[in-house]
Amino acid sequence: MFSQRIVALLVALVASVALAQEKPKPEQLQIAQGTLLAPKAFRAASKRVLPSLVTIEGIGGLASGISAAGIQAPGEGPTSGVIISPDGYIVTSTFNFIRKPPIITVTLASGERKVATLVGRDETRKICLLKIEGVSNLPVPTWAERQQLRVGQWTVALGIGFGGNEPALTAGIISATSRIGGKAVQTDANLSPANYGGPLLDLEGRVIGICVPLNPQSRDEGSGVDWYDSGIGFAVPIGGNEKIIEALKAGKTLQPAFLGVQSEPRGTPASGAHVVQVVPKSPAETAGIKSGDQLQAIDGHEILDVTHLQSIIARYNAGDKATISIVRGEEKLDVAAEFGVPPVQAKPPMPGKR
Amino acid sequence: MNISCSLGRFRTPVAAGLCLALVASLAPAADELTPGELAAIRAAEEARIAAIDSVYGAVVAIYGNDRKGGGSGVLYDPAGYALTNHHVVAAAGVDGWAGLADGQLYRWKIIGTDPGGDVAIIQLIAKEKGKKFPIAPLADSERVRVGDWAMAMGNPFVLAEDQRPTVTLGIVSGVHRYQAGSGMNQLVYGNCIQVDSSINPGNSGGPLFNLHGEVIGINGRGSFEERGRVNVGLGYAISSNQVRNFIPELLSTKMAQHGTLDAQFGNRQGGVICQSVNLDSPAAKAGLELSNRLISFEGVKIADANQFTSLVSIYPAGWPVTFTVEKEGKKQQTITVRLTALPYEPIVKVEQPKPEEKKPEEKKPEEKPTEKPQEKKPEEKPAEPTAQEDKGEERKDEKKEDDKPTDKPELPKIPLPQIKLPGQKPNFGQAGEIRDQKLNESIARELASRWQETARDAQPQEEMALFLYSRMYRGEANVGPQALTISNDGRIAAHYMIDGNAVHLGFDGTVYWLYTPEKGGQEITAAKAHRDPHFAQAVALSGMLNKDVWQQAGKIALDGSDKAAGRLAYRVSLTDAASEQLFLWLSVTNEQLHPEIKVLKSGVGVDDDEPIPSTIYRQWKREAGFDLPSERILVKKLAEEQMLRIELVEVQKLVNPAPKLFQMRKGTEE
Amino acid sequence: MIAGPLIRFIRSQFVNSCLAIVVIGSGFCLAQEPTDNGPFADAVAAAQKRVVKIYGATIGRSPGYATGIIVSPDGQIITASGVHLSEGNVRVTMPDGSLQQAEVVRRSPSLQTALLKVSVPTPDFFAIPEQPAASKGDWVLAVSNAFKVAEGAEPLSVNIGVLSLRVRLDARRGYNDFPYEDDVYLIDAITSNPGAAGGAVVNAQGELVGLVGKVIEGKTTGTRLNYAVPADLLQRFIRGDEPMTAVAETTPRGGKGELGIRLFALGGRKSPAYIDRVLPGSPAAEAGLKTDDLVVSINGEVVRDSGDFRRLTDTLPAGVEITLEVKRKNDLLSVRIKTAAVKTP
Repeated sequence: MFSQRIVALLVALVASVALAQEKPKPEQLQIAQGTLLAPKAFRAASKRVLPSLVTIEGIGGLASGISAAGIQAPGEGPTSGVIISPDGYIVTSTFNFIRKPPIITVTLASGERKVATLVGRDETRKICLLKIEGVSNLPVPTWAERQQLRVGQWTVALGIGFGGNEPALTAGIISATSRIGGKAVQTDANLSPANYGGPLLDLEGRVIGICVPLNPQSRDEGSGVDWYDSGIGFAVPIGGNEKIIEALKAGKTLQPAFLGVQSEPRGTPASGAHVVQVVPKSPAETAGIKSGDQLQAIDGHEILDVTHLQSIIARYNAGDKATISIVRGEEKLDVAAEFGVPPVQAKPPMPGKR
Repeated sequence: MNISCSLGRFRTPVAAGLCLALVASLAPAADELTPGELAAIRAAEEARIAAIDSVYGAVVAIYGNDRKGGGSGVLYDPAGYALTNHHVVAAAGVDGWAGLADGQLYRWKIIGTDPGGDVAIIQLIAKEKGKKFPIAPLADSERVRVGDWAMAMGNPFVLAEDQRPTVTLGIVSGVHRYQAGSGMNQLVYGNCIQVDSSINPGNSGGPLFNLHGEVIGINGRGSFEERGRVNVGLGYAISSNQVRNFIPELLSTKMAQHGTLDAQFGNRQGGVICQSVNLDSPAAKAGLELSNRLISFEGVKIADANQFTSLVSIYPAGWPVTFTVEKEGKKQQTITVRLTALPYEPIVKVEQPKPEEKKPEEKKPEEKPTEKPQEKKPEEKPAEPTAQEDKGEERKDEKKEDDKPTDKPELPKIPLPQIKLPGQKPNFGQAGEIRDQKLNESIARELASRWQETARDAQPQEEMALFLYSRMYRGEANVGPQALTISNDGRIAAHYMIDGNAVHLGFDGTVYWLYTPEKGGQEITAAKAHRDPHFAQAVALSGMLNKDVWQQAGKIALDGSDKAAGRLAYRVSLTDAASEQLFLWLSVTNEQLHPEIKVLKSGVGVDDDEPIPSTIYRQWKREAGFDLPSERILVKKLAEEQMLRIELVEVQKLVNPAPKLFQMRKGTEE
Repeated sequence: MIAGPLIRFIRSQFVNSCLAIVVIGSGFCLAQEPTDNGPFADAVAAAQKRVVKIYGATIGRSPGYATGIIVSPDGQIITASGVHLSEGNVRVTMPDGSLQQAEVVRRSPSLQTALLKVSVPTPDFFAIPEQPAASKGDWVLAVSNAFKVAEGAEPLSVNIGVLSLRVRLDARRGYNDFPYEDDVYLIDAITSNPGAAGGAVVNAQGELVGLVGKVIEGKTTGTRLNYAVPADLLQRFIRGDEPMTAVAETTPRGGKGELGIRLFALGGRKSPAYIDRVLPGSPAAEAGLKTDDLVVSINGEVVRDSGDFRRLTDTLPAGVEITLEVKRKNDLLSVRIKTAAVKTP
């Protein structure tokens, strides 16, 4: 036994020497090798976050058979969530509660199963915050630095919901770092309902974001699901975004931002965003924007045209404040605006709330 | 001591242990990630990120004027020329907005389009004069292997609110794939690259590229199944080699046409057999007959009729092709002809003025397609993709399953982006014709300037001329000398002697003249002078001295794509008042496929029966501050049969050349 | 001291070491070929030589074509079972482009696979590896004829992904439970496409990982699943350690009864119970039921829609006789049918 261990040590020493001597490889060969070895890194990344991965189940709720926007017969299985604080705050996706289950349970990596309350939700990011009680020192993952993300780097997604004892692993790259009003990172790793609420990881096992179904055209809970496994997937980075976490902890529902202007491009060729009409009693009216104004920038972000204006507003939530630069005739001025809530019908009661 | 002795004796086993350790480190059982392995993984990731970074700035988000729907494109030339799909511009119009990764919006305008192969060239307009756009290089798509990494960049589902493209990663799933087009010969993806990199509506027109940041294809299609307009792992890109073949056609502002041999081949016992041939076609006139067996086409051995169909689809109308057939009695014949133009109906339909006329179109999706997809059944495809039309397409998808397994499946295409058509039908011109003469001329001039810029150290500041002394050979036999004098103000003198017969021609700034000892001197027309290949060489080469020199020979125009010296070329024509033409073929790339413009060939005819030889220019070397061909070959016929070889012996630069050099010779001066 | 054990160890490993040297050596030889744009081209080329294109009958919504893998030197081919194999005229295009007739040797209902045989030698075949050739996260390449893009000798399509999970399958095909009973590999390459079933899933070295499965939906996620039958399960199937299915009398686990009726499924559970097709050789076929018959009652109980039909027939055991009333054009017909054991559709 002893001799075997020594031998193993020596062999390892010899191996590292051998590997060190292997450095002068042609670059192409190293790249080919690096590709072949990537799965080892995928597994290592997955292992690092596994203790913080939880299984979410909703019990009861609306009958299955309701089409969840794109999927004819939605799945009945559990889904994923991520622990974000040692005292039991868990992030998952609002998609998982489309059927409004009255009871939500969280199963930790240890196997312990707890009932959870839904604390707050972000309609723009399709995430929600759950809380379980009677826990402490839960393992929390490391978050990737959003600024350092690069298009083309590896991503690994884990998804609970196919059955078995382990999550399924899918891999891809970062396709874009700023989408859906800048709220999401885009990846081409296959994401499907098993992944929603679960983590998108980088090669080091840091969480880039929480996987959610998103679609710039619609805010419904189920929109974006029709893009499952299509190579178009989204994850919302929340690590370090204390503003959102605090708002959710406080039980808020974060809504999309609404300004209240109708605008059009002008000139030949038509460009820019020129206000045609200000919606009465809207945040725009309150801020003092008038018909005829040209909207130049929001918080310094130049507005190229009407389509661009919509995507800039999408970066904010209702309640956020911003400085809007306008041109009125010969004058240039800045106005302070506070975005409001889009004028929609009353929202149905939230699941899991007591 | 003990140890070292033992180790010394067992050096081989130690080395073996080393190898064993290496194997052990690679074995899947040991799943620990070593630092060396992590470094290799990172290096591979970095290589990919670097490739993406190098192409990122060149990817274009293409919109119509209302910025609603969109497609993609890729800049390939610093002057702002970008490649995209025909179906993207067909939906957007003749101009619109383009977004680049710098977050800015630029105006773009159409240059030329190829509905047959679904490629188009647009030009982005720079915001500052003279600004150069970032570009991505076009690779050799023949080197692509199944299993290679392939990345797609573009704007699927118009997600790029900041104009930064979406990047997806996959592998090459197949090469030389044939995807049937729609309607009559439109949007055919022959010889295309199949990939599983995610390609969705909006990716159309964007680049497919490799780990070196080289574009191997233009994405444009995908296969869909019952899920809807969403990627299911099969995407198709037009190969970069096909795209390149059409660049000169598109830059000439044409609505380009593809080429056909006007003959059908099928798989039969004994090989690929000619089943029908148009008797008026160049191929038939050159000897192709029914039942001939096709052996090779453009140098490729043909094993299957589909292979031939695929290969032909990458060439524009007029392209000279060489093929070999086996005839009755096992005799082989090699034929070189120009492909004729493949007809098609324009895919962009005018909005019907009368509402009643729309009804028959709307009924069509409910009809069962009874014919096989290979028959060219004109499928009316309204350009405006309304929701109704989408249903029609999806219904067609279901019926597809009724096809017999031996037919090529008619695969649904990525629907046109949701863009409202402009008020009028986009004018892309008539099939095969140059749409915008002025634009064409300025592009031709641009090409000429580019050659000049690279062909010389500096623009000549004073009056000067180059004296080129060469020797001519037929085979190994020395047949005589040649002397060309070309000045930077367009004056020319050409003297040569073949087998003892001397000929002298020149242009002294006013008149063209010809002198032979037998007939003496006479004034001739410019056209007659150009019909002398040696004089034509002087005209061609003098183009590098002064950008206006060629204009003296005639109005410059870019004819389109042609083959010269066996390579893809821009064919430029100089047409004088009497419509006599001098042709100059300029290379599109060098042998390594990097963009490079050099004179490849000059001549006065483009047909196989042109009696006057053309000149091929090769072995360019820099002498006296100018790129000059050390070798010129006089050739005849499409197959470029070699007649004479001219080797450059000496170059002299003459400053302030004497006018007498260019004046008509009188008497027996030497 | 420690040298002794080391030397003994090394000496004992000498043969392995020699092998290692050979492996490393050949590795370096292969490595001289610069795989400029990815390391998979060679594995893919090798795998394509062992995968075939299969053409059969087009019935209902089944595409009539699929893929298969060669698993022995004497022409044995494994593919996914399906209606396209049911009419006896199964044609196989071999990797060299030659077209062969194939006979269906047997099927496995629990793996949803079928064993075919062609009568030409096939020296290039997949050996089933002793150990699983891939674990979670490993590269997998799927070689198949999805959408029958490849014809004749044209190489099959290749898609890449990673192995996502090995798990017991719980899925459905249309409105019926999928009869597969065992583990599958879930992969993140899209293989759930017409014609891909029966293709090869290989690792980055070209070794067989599994057989591409059929188009199904996961019951837990409601989404299409991309799955492969693991190679170790195929091993059992090849050896014949599977319950035979050619004979109707075999009673599978659970003893479920089958009528051989497939309803017209478009329009949801509330659509009328029109018969879309009757499986050949099934009790319904023998009783004379036909496509477009409308099931009106079962054992006297009214069938209002396909939901009712399922409810009344899902739990039928094998070997019971039931009375079925159908409407055909304007007639009401009554038939008595004895359910058979569940067969591979």
